Amino acid sequence: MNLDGWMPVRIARRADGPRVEWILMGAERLRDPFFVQTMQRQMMKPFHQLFRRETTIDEMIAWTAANPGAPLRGIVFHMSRCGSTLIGQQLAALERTIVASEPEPMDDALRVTPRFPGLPGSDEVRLVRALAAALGQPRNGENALYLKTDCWHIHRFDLLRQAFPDAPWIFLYRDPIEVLVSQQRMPSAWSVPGLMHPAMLGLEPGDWSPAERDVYCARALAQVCDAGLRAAQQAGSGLLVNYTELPDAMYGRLFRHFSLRAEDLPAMRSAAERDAKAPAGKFTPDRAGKQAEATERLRAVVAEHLAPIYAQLEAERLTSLHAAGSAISP
Amino acid sequence: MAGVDTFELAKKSVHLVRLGAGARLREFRAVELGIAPGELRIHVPVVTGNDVELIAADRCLTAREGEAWCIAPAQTCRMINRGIDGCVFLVIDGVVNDWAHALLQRAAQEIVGACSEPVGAASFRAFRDRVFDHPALQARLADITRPDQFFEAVVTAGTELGFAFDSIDVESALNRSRHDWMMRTVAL
Repeated sequence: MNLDGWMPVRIARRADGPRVEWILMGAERLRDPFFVQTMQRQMMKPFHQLFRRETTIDEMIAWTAANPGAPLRGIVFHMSRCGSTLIGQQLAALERTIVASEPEPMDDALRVTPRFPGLPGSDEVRLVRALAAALGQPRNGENALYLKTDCWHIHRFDLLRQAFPDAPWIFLYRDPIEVLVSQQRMPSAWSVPGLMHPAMLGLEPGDWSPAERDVYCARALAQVCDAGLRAAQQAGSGLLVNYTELPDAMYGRLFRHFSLRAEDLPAMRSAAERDAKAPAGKFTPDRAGKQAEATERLRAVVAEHLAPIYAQLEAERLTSLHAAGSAISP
Repeated sequence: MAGVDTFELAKKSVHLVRLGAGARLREFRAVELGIAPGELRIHVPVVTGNDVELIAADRCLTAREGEAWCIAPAQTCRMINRGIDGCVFLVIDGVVNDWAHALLQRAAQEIVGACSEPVGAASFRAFRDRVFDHPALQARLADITRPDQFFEAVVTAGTELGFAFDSIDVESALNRSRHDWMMRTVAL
């Protein structure tokens, strides 16, 4: 089996077991803010509709064992709407990197629910390693892979840590008022009860009020932040990063963390000037606007559900910052 | 058309479909052609043969003269006449009533018809595996964006390699694959 030039695009649950679906990417790069956007564009080619190929997971594992791909140089965990796409786009601006930004097949692998309990322990580890290797195949001589996860994947931190014990990671977060305002402007699918199994968000099924979707979202975010804090406290090789540190942290304490090089700086700085989610436009600061838009109701929801964990994250981050001295600029 | 009265339901339309030797009917769904909820379409082979393929949900039905077939309106359907003679089907669109409902219930319980993979679909499947093993073939087809040109290029490549499928087989396979992609669901 020769999968040169092919990229996994999802794991389909077939009647006779899971199958990895691949499309022919050739030398195409993942440069869009999100993996799904690249796929949407690719899928307009009739070839990908007619000639998607399927392999078993074992076939993918065997092929990637012989074709390990670019090493994973960083994982970006985050609480959503907090600058993770900016980091992804700064990294994707580098010719030598592959950035898998919320890749759908990884979510297929990481998503476990009561109905789809996933694969047994070591198989899951082998699966996510093989997926990273398949996503990280150099198509243009790239030598580093970065994975930006979906926000709920922090709940699979232990698995990802086991799969990639040496990969540096960060947990990125932001003032929850600004995150929640963003979620109210344009809700993520996961923040709508019923569109994702609550177990993936650390919540209980049925434990929400239809009149309080903002509370559901806030509680899910609190679980994400709590998992991020616990990861930072328990595991090495990780950093807590606040949105307020961006983009400068990418030229400072994240620079060495993510194995970046001096020659990467111009492209990263240029990427930071654009709107990460709509790169054709320029970046405009939106903190003040989001703060002004926050209603009293939203502030009360944040105060009850998110302010405590945000304070803990900040305390932990500042403690580790002091312990490390201070940010070092190249 | 005395046989039409055998079907004791209010009829919206009755027509004959004739496919000449080598003719084919592109894939369709009856729901997309004016069959509303509560209505059904009955296919009655009047003149047919072993080389006529009536294909529903990508399976070839063994529809013989004197039988009547009802294909779920939401299901994909296509026909190919691979024989050397023309074939004729009577097609009745009608409203489901108690008689039709009872008939369908009984048919679903009592009649087991053999079905098989359509010839063209099987041939295309084999071709697809060939493409997966041949980077040169992939390169030849991968960047064609216009569907009509793409279908033509695929059929040409298949014919050159001795495969026996046509653009309708390709289009059906593509529709099914696209549907599978678009319907990929969040595993709740």
